Amino acid sequence: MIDYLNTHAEQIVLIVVIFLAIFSLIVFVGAIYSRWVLNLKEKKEKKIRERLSDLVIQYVSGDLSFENLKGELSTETDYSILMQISNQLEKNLEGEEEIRLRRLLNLPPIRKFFIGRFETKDPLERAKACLYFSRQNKIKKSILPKIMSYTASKYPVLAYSSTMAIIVHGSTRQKKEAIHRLLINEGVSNQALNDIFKEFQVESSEEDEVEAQLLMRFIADKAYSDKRTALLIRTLGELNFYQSAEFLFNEFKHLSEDHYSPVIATALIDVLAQFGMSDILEDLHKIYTNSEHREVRESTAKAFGFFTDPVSKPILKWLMLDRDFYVRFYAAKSLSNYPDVQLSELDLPGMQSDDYSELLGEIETSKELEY
Amino acid sequence: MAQSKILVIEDEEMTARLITYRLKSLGHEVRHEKDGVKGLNSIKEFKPDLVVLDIMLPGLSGFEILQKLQDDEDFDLDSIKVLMLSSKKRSEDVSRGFNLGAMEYVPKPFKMDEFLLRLNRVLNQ
Repeated sequence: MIDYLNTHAEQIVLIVVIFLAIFSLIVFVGAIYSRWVLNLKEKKEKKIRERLSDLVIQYVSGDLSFENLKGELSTETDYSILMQISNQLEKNLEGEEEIRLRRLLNLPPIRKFFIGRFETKDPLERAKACLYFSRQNKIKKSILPKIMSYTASKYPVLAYSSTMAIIVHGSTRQKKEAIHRLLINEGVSNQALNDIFKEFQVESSEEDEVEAQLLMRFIADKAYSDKRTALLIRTLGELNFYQSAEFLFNEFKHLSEDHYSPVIATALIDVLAQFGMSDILEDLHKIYTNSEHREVRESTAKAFGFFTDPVSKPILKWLMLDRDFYVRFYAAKSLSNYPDVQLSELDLPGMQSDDYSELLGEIETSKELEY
Repeated sequence: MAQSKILVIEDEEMTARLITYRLKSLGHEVRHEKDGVKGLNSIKEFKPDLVVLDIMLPGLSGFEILQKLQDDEDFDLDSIKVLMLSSKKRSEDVSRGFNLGAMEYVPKPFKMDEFLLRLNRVLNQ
């Protein structure tokens, strides 16, 4: 064997070199060919996109009939591109234009395409299908159980999208269960949950009571993280569910004096102040003004600005000496709500500093811009 | 209706196309830019009567464009009318736009008829 290798070493090396050269050439040609095919496909798609974009714009503007546009669609690529451009437009339009677009997105090949996405294992594809169905006016009830099962997905995007579809098409019981699942999914952002609550409000616009009761029930369950509970409280405020004021006040009164969650406390103070619940003032004066948590003192200072009661005035002056800039800022801003207070004339330590002038400037700007 | 020069600064291709199509069909001369930097340059070169300005833009935001125009001593911001078009709905954002010189604000999503109505109102001011 060794003799053979010694004798034929040159030929063996040559064969290996030739093999490697041919292999490299095949890889090289293959790469060029696939790039060429890809370029060709991109070029073709670009052309189709241009043509369809023009047609969709004419259709949406009422200058082209639905039938005429439909007649221009034949291949799977046509429908795929049509979906993309319609989706881009749909999120920015309302009224007649949106109705026309929805009609397009309801074409059987597009519906079929999205039903097919449920069969894939890819959570992103399933999520896209859920979002698509969340934008349809009606869906086949037979696909609801599948969408409902996705609300328990560990993938936040799928859990969110399926919950959105359930909010639009599901029963009250399904909605409640889907939101519960989303609340315990730590991967889902508060912003995503906010979107869900807003959509819930749109869908149950005549049944505000249902949503308010549901949110209060979730808070009372005490089954969620502090972050989630605070979000639920703030949602009641953002949606102006004044009927929850008594309930929230009760939660506020039951915060332990020594051991409360600052995230929950600030949410309660902010919302109750927004609701004009002056019963919170006594505890704010006695307990929360001295909180060790910066954000709680900040919310307290902010809350006093809603009531402008005489007892809070000296406390606000004291809060203007707080070690934290934002507590000082909101204390000063709340003080400026008192008609008899001129911030520039207050006699407090540190008022001559640049920091104080900067703070006054910030308050002035914030008032001009009304925030 | 008198023909006006309108610049649409909007990064969302289809929305910009639709606005451009509708404005052109009304007889206006329309130009479109997709990013803030080009948008700012186009305002100075094209000298439009009205700018439809999105707030969230790549390069420079709509606010930054307005701020730069305000800071530019060679540019007279009163010579153009600005209509803001944005999905930003917070009151501080809207106020900020008005404080920087915008004359009208249309929130996204919008109805095209309403958008055109407000645009005409600004053009006629």
